[in-house]
Amino acid sequence: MAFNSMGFLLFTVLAVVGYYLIPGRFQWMWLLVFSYLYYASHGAGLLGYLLFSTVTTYVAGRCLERIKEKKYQKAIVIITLILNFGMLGILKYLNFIILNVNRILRGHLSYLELVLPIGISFYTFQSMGYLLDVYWKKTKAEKNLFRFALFLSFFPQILQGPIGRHSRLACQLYERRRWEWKRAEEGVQRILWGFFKKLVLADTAAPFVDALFDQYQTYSGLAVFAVLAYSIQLYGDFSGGMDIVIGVGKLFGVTLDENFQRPYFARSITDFWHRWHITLGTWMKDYVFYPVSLSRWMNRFGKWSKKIFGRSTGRTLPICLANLIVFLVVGVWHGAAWKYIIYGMYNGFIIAFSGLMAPNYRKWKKICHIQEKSAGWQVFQILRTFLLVNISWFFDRADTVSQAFSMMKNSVTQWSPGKIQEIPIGQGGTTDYTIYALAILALGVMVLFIFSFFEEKGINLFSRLMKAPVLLRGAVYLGILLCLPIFSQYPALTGGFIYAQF
Amino acid sequence: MHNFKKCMGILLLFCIYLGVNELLTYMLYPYTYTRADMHHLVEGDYETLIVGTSHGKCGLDPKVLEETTGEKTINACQGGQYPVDSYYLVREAARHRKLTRVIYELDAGYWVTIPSQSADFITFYHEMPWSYVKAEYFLDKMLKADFRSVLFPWYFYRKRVTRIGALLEQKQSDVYKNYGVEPFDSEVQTYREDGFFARHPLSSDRLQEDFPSLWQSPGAREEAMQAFDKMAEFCEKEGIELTVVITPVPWVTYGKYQEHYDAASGFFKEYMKERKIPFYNYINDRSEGMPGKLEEFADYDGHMYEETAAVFSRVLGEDLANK
Amino acid sequence: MEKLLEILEDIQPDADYETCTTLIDDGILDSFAILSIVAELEDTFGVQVTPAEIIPENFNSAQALWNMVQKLQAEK
Repeated sequence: MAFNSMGFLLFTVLAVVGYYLIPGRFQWMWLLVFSYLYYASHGAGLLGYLLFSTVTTYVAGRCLERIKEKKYQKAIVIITLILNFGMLGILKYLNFIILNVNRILRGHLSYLELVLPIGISFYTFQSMGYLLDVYWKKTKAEKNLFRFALFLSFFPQILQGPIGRHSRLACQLYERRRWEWKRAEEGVQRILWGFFKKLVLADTAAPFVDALFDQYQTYSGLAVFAVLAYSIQLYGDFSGGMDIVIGVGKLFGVTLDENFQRPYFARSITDFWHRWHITLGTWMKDYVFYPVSLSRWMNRFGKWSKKIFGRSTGRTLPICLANLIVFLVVGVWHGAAWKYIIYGMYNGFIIAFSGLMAPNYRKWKKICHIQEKSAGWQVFQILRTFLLVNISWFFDRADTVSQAFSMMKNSVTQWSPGKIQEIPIGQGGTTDYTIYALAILALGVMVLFIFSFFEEKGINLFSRLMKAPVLLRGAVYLGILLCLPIFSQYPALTGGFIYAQF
Repeated sequence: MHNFKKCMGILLLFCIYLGVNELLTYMLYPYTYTRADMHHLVEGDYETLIVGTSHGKCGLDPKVLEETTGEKTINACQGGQYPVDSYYLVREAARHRKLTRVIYELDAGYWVTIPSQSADFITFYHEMPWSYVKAEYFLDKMLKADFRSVLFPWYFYRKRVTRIGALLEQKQSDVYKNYGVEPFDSEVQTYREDGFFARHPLSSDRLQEDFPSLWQSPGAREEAMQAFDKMAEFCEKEGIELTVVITPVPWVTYGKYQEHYDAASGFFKEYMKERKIPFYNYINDRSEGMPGKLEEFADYDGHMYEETAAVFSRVLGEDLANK
Repeated sequence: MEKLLEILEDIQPDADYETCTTLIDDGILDSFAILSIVAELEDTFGVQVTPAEIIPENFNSAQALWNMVQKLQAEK
């Protein structure tokens, strides 16, 4: 049941109505039942993986609280990490490893037929985050296995995140709640807005992206448009999906972590990662970046580098190294392919470089009299970051590394914008819809920009709307609802949500 | 009191949505031959029902079949009809008539592809009158569909907004109200009330080579098999004889894609044998007098002309009667 | 405490460390700065900071940082 299916809509309505009708002490159980039903609807066989994660992490959490000896605690954590990440690793990366081993050793190892259970990357990260939180005493171990099962399986978020933190999410799931009109309306707003982003923006951009990337040699003069369309598609798809998830969460009174904060307004790549897929970024920071940086061998490396490079650079170098490791993991997380590894390392290198150069930048800005807060400088920073991000999208979307490079080259050497009208994106491969689609895309981006611009200034237009008379609000919601069939691309020409495959 | 007002507000909003949606459906959703077919399915007088795809629509002539089998027959085939749709059409027909025979025209391509969500996807569901059969149909098929396909059936026809005038005129006409078949007639085809599509050759017709939808690995999809099995089960329970037919294609097409056709033949022969369902495959088992020349077909894919369909239907009718 | 303020000034000059209590919440210190501070604390005060200590409450103000250092020194 994808979010845009009729089934998901009815399932959600049923879950919400029942949730507020039954007595409060049963509410969390109701959520658990619906969450497991939802996950099972993608294939009952997948439940095994989820249960494995749930039970091993639960048991480990309980042991960590009982056993006080540091040595044993560490052993428990390591074993649980290996079990869970090992399962994820085998399912996700084994065939990639076999492919490369075969290539290097000219071997003929055969591939395994592995099905990647949907959502596994997300719930594995969430459960391992919990494990380390318990180990570091940042949260209390869950005593009830079923409650813990709900924490890992809450149905709106299980497919594509946001990756939840036990300290913030778990207690919300078990609370008893009453229906609140205002909260429900906010939820519906988010859901409608999410569908607008997904169905109108992302899905209209999708056929352009597919045509321009799959036949990049035919459309060599449109490489720039290809990557811009992809930046719209990816943002609309992923953040739209998140809006739906968070909106559905709100219907149950659960506030999930935000995953996006207008990433294309970011002023540096570091800033971008604080605004894009935020819960993955903070997960990486807390559970990879800090532990690696503070590890004993990194400490030794720091002492050595200080001797060689002096205090300031020597101090930053280990951090840069840890940062590169983080982005290697981020790249690998996205999938088993070299292009993702390059995608991750590209981001890692930029951030490491600007970290190393930070003291110099400060000096140069003083010399050039650049005012950090001036509008011109900020716009420059935003555009520069947007450019850098788009370069990374080439790696993300192209099928191979060489295709990414070739398209990057095309984007500066070739230019034939007129050809855009020849892209057949209508039903049955016609071009008669192309010009409309472009107009819808342009208008949609404008709406998104205005909305985001105000949000960046601290004004949420939907919150403002809440104060408007009820009739106007109703009209706006009905209007957005009708936008969906009128301005969206047909489902036959688009796929599901992109991030549900990770 | 506060809650009551809010509930009324939501109810009002919902009514406005229903009204607007109904209006848009009225203005944009055209008169389709599914509507005419459905009317004949509900109101008509018949014992044999033909379901299947476009090949069946213009290949199986109910009139000719009647002459050999002696059973009143209608044709409810249509391009874009997947096994799940065929099943619910049979169920719906059985609600109104005592069926003795169902002929399922099988196109292997429909068993291996995922139905794409276009106008054909919702057409049978849209035209079916409300009943428990439709409710089951909804749970079986529409739950998996995109919510727009279900909630806004007009959106597949949104482009017709420029032709609203003509559409409204048609909807108010007697032809529409009486389920007339004239609107579907054209130079290349005549539509008959028994649901048959008689295709006519055009003198200037030059055949374009097209790609028939073929059997492909990894083979039949679970959903197609489940739907077919349900149909078979239902027929057995109701004492309806289910017969499966694959219509012939031009010899050149068979020659070109023999591998695909043979693979499909092998699979379905085994499949139907296991289920003890009479199965006639006129692509691979070429009986005497079976059409096969390219001139006898409207295209490479194997859509028959009226005369070809008559020849073919007679052979099929005799095969059915002699069994 | 004096030494601590010196370290902070060195790593991220544009902040008022005497009064600010939202160094993390307002994003004045990013993760690079946090780790630089930790590295300096370990050198200067001879304490061992673990991932468990990296929580906003320990880094939001100079005073909080100082409390953490003293706590870690006492544990040693």
